[in-house]
This record gives sequence, C-alpha cells and structure tokens, in this order.
Amino acid sequence: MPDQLFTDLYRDTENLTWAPTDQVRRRGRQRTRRTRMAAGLASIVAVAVVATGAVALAGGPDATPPFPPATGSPTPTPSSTPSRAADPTPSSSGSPTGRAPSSPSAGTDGPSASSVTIPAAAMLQLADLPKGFTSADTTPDGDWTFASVTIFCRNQSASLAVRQVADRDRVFESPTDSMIQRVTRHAGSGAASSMDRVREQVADCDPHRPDDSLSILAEGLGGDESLLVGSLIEGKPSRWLLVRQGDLVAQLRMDSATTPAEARGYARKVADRLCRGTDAC
Amino acid sequence: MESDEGFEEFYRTTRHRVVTVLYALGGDLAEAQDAAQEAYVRAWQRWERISGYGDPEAWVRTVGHRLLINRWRKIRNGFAAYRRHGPDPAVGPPSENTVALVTALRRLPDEQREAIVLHHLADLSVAEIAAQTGAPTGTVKARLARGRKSLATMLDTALPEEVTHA
Repeated sequence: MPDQLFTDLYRDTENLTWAPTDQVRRRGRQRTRRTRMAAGLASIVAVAVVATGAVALAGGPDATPPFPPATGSPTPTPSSTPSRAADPTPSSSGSPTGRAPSSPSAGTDGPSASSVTIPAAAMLQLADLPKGFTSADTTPDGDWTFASVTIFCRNQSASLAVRQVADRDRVFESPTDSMIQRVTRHAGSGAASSMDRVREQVADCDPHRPDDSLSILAEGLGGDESLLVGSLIEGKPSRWLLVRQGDLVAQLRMDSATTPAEARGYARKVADRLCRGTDAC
Repeated sequence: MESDEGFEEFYRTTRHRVVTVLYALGGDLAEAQDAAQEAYVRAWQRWERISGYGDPEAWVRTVGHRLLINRWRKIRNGFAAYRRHGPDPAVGPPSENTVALVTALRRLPDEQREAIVLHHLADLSVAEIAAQTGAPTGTVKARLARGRKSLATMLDTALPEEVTHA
C-alpha cells in the first residue's frame, strides 16, 4: 500500500480546530439532562398507563384498554467491540419515527386517554411536500431542534416540554435535503406555554458571540399561533417553524433560506394536519 | 457524568486519528469533524463505562461512522461552529495526494472502503476488522484485496498484495 498517501491524509487533518474539552462536557451534560427529562416523562407516563389499565380492567369488558407503555429513551449498550449493529445513541427525545406516542398524565385538566395519542394523520404527509421527498424510516438523530441552538446563549433556557404528554416524529428526505417534524401534545395550557417560552428564549438570548443571534422572523402563519424562528450562529443561518393547534405543537426543521411566505404555506398544511389530532379545530 | 478521569487525554490524543478515519470513510472533512465531535460528547456521557473498554477509540470511531451513515451530517450540530469559525490559518488546502485518495476511496463499494480505511488508517488487523464489521476474516481479506486493486487502478500506482497487519 502506498503509505505516503495515508501519511499525507493524516498531515492534512492534524491542525483542525477542536472544541475545548469543557465544551464537550457541557454538551454532554445538556444531552444527559434532556435524556433524563425524556426518561422521567416516560416513567410518569408508564405509571399513568398502569393506572389507566387498572381503571379499564375495573370497568369491565367494555372499558377502553390501556395504551402500551412508552418506550422512553433507551440507553445504548455499547459492546467493548463495537459492531455495525450497535446503536450509537438515540436522539435526545428517544422517539423513533412513527413510535406510538405516550399516554397522558393523570391531571384532571389533561387530555383524555383516548385523545392523547398523536395519530399519524396529524403529521405532515408526503403530499404536503415538494416532489422528490420520500418518507424516511429513520430516527431523527443529532440536535436538530430549536432548543439545540439555545446553548449559544449565556442564559439558561427553560425546557419547551411544558406538561408534554406525548410526541411523534417523522422524517422526510430528498436526494438533496431532509425535513424533520416533531409533534408534541401538552396537558392543560402547556402547548401555549411552550410557544411562549420559544418567544422568551429568542427575546432573552444573550449570545456568547456578539454576531450570533436568534430572531422571530414571522408570526401568525397558521394554526392557533405559529412562529418562524431564525438563528444565525457563526454566520450560518437556520430556520424552524413552530405551529400550535390546540394542545398540539409541531416543530419543523426548515431549509436555512426559508422565507416567511414559504413558511406560511407549510404552516397552513401543518395546521390542517394537526386538526386531525386534536379536538381544538 | 462528572467523574471523567482520563477523558481529556483520550479526547486530545485520539481525535486526530478518529477524524482522519471518518474523513476517509465519508469524504468530507467538515462532516467528519462534526460527527467526531458529537461522538466524543456521547463518549463523555458514558465515560465511566467506555473508559473500561479495551479500545474506547473504537467505540468513538464506530459511533462517528454511524452518525455519518445516518445522514446526521445534514442535521445541525452545535459544534459546527468550531469548524465554521473561519479557516484556521494553520489549516491549508488538502494535498493533491489526499484529494486523489479521498476521491478514489469514495468510488469504492462501502465494504471495501471500510476495510481499507480500518486497515490502513486505523491500523486494525484483519481479525479486528472482522470483529468490528461482523464479516468473516476471509471476506475481509477479499474486500481488502479488491479494494487495493481498485485503488491501484484509480491512483495509477503499484500496490503490495499482502496484508501487512493480517
């Protein structure tokens, strides 16, 4: 083998700028917090499922059967010899594409068990997207959500999962692009509070670097409320579309050049689909 | 995960090899670095366990490779800022040899590319590659042989037939 070729390759990668170890730790802590939060939610949900099941059983043969327990965020089990089959790590939400959503908390103002599941029909469909997209049978991985960029703000960000009781993800891909949608259901007024927190995080962000920024690019694009959020981190723009319809909130990772006019088209489609998963419409 | 004794040294001493392997596997240095950074974050989260493995670097390399395969590269990563911070004055354009090698590697079938990269860049033996990829050793040898032959043609160079680390 011409070892010189590989020597040159090594030489070309030896002066990269790496994140300091402290930054790696910080990101690790952030991921851990999110995973624990998701796992905690799953535990609450599992308790609620058991309770619902007990009530269902007590209610006799006509009672509604309980939902299956949520899967939560499985912890990967790496082997000492990694293999191709080893699952590195799930996304922070641990929500596989198309996973059956979780069931509600036992709060009196929460959604009923029969309405908590986020149906597939409430998600964007292929027909809503430009030609060339296909439905990807993958789990969204990496930090793609709006929350992921709030680490560039000095101030601590509050979780957007306000009284969140269920979630569902869907991933679409085209040869040149991808689109990820997450829909979450919130108990009580949690959905509206979650949207408020997005606004607060944008308004309150004190970026580490003076040229970084978060901004609300447009509102009122569709549904009960909606936001097109933009970020500019190290000169790279990103866009998210958030749409609330009743107790559901949809978040979409958009192309970084998405305009408010383009976002409006998507927001309406998203809002229409959400109506199939909530009684608010 | 606050007890991370040894992680800093591990991160400092292995990242160059890891990113080089990922670069060779994926063909894009920026994406390789993003994936490597994310893999180290995940390693830090599980450091108590992973530090006890015989080869923690293999875990990071595998996770980074999976991230590349899963199209994670299209999803923004917080660390992207570091490599987008602007051109590091110490980092020049890739050499002619590197461009040619990466281009040639990308034209190999995935299995052959993985075998070649793990053998010649990660310095794994045939047996280690077989264990990591789940392929029989004979299959790994065949992939290496075919990969070297294809690379020799594409790079217009003579390549030794034997597998030195086998």
